[in-house]
Amino acid sequence: MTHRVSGFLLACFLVIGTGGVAWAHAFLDHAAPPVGSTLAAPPPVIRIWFTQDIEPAFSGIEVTDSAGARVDDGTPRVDDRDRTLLIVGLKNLPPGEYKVHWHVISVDTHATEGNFTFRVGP
Amino acid sequence: MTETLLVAARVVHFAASIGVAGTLCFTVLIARPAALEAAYRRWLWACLALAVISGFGWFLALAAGMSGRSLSASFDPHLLSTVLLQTRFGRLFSLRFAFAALAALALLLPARVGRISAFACAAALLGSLAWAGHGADDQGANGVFHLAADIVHLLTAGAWIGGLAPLAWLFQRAIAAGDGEWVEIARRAAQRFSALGIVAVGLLLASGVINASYLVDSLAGLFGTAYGRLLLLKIVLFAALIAVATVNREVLTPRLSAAPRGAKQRASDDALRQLRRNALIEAGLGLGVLGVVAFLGTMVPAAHQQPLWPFPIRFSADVLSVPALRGEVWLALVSASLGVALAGASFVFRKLWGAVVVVWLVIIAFFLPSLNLLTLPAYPTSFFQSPAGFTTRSIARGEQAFAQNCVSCHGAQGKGDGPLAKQLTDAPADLTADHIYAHSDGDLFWWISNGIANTAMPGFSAQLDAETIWNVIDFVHANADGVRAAEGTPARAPDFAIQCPDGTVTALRQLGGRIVHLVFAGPQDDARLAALSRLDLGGDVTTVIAPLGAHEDALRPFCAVAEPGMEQAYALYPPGRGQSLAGDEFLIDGKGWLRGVWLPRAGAGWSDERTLRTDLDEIRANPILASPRPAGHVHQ
Repeated sequence: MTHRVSGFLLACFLVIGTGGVAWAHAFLDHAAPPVGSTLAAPPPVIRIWFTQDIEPAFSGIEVTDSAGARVDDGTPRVDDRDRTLLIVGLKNLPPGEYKVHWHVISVDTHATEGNFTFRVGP
Repeated sequence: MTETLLVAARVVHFAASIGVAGTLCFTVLIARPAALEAAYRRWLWACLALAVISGFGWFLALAAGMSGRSLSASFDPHLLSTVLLQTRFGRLFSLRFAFAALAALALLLPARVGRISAFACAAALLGSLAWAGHGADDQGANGVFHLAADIVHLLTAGAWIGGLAPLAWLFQRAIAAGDGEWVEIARRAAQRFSALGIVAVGLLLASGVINASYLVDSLAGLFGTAYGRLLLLKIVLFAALIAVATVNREVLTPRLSAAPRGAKQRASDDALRQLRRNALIEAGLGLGVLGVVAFLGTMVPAAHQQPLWPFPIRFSADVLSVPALRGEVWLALVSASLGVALAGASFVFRKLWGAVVVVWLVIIAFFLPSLNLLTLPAYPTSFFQSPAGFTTRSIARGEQAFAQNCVSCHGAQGKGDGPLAKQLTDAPADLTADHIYAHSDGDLFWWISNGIANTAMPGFSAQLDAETIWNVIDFVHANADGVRAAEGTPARAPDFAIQCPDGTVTALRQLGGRIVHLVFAGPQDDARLAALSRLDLGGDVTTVIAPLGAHEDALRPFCAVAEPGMEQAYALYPPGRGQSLAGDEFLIDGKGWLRGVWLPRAGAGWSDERTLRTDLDEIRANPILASPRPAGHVHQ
């Protein structure tokens, strides 16, 4: 029984197509440095692209070293031309593992946050 | 507390905005008996006031939510002005407040002008809610389409649900008056309103389906996530609304008659009472829908969650590509569709109803075995999508877990020829065979986690965490891809991080559209790197070096792989596992397909730059249009 019902519903959905996905919360799309990467040279900035436009006033990135000390310049900003891109400058990073914590509010008011790490040096 | 206020304020705000727009719509399109003018006016003012108050509640709850503060700590002028002036919601809030104020002003104007302009302001107040919802996505034509559907949905809901209160009022008044003139007014209003209702149902369905397709994105999302199931609840409430409206239209409205006395009048009075009751029931159902909507808007839409599939089977059109079965399945599909059409027709030719249903059931029963071919066994995780991203790191981690847990049966190459394989009555699956591409990632995830019933395949959920299982699945796919790549089939290139000489960092998948010339450079390859640094392969080619002991000076001009150990994953493709990749070169096209390999030990190849250029031209001339997707990704 269930498969006939689901088959029928599926047919309905096929008719309208599935279209693209509109991301209603801002999730991390990709980052530079990429999540979990190991870099030979220290990156000058962290860039994170989200799946939706974000609110500059309530979005930020904090970067900490393995001892928990802040290594970002404390002034995260949203790119002027690409409102999905959040950027924060970094101090000159010695080799080690770094933790990136991001928290954003999407323009439709939903809050999301997350963490990732990257390494500098061998 | 903040969350409760948010949902409560949203329900009240939706209902009040719909009340304002719907009541004005009612007076413009349906009826405005002079005796009810004052009552409707009071109702309008009450709704407008509620809309403004609940709007402030919503604003405050959001300010608290955005700043992460408690509600009481959010009464901070600095915070409130930041939200008001610097966020899109704040600007929308100001604009909508202006619409509400204009609507109030318009209500003070003389009758006709005031009514029309108040209606326009109320429509703007309601329609602009679309920007506060999940549809407020800025990105491209898709976003505009979604937004338009959202606006239509809101306005239509306003016209229908918001018109129920003035309609019930009108029925109430007609009952109280108890004369033929009022019955006639009620009859005409009921007729007009049901005509509006039919249009509304059509528009709500169409725009609702469009919205759902953006936010749920799949059947699995509808049945398998909390968001989807709440949406199903909304659909059930909507269906109940349609059922009540149908009774009003088909049964009750025709009974209304202005006949002065007798049985007909009693029937008419009863119908009027039932219409009033039904209008209130509809309004209640409508409020239920709004409650669900207010809650849905604060949840993560289903398209972002792993859906738990609740049924033991899933639909699959794969059988339609099997020539021997194709005809049978199509015949069954066409017959079943004819059956559905017949069942629909039976609503029109009511006398044949019973016979048609019997015929339909016989058709379905006869073709059921054939229709069953369109289904596959399914598991709760069948529609899970891998979060592992097919990166070199995921594949390397998967290979390690595979070596520890899987090789004893499946063999080091995954061909099903491990040392224990001979002791098993059923041979372990050959994980390099074509069937691996027929299973969804979610099916593989279930089998690795829980084993496969009636086979020797055990479950590994106790030994491997979810991430590791996704890694194993990435490895199994890369391993099977590698076998095919050795025969010249393009394979999906595993993703890895890249750092360029200016310090910028990116990843293979982010190079969008560029051809990547990937060179594994050992200590002996300095001369090759020097030659490549002088070579201009074209503006659409990026040379990326994977350093395997190459000297730093030789690497300096190039972008380099920033993912230690990534060669472990690339060794699954030609040259083959266990070989050193030093000196080997790959070409990856703009879509991420692995298109060419040169192994120096196999011949001069790309050391002659003309051969390399010819191969690049070949890639440019014959692009693969499809994007490489995770093998076994379920298309719905």
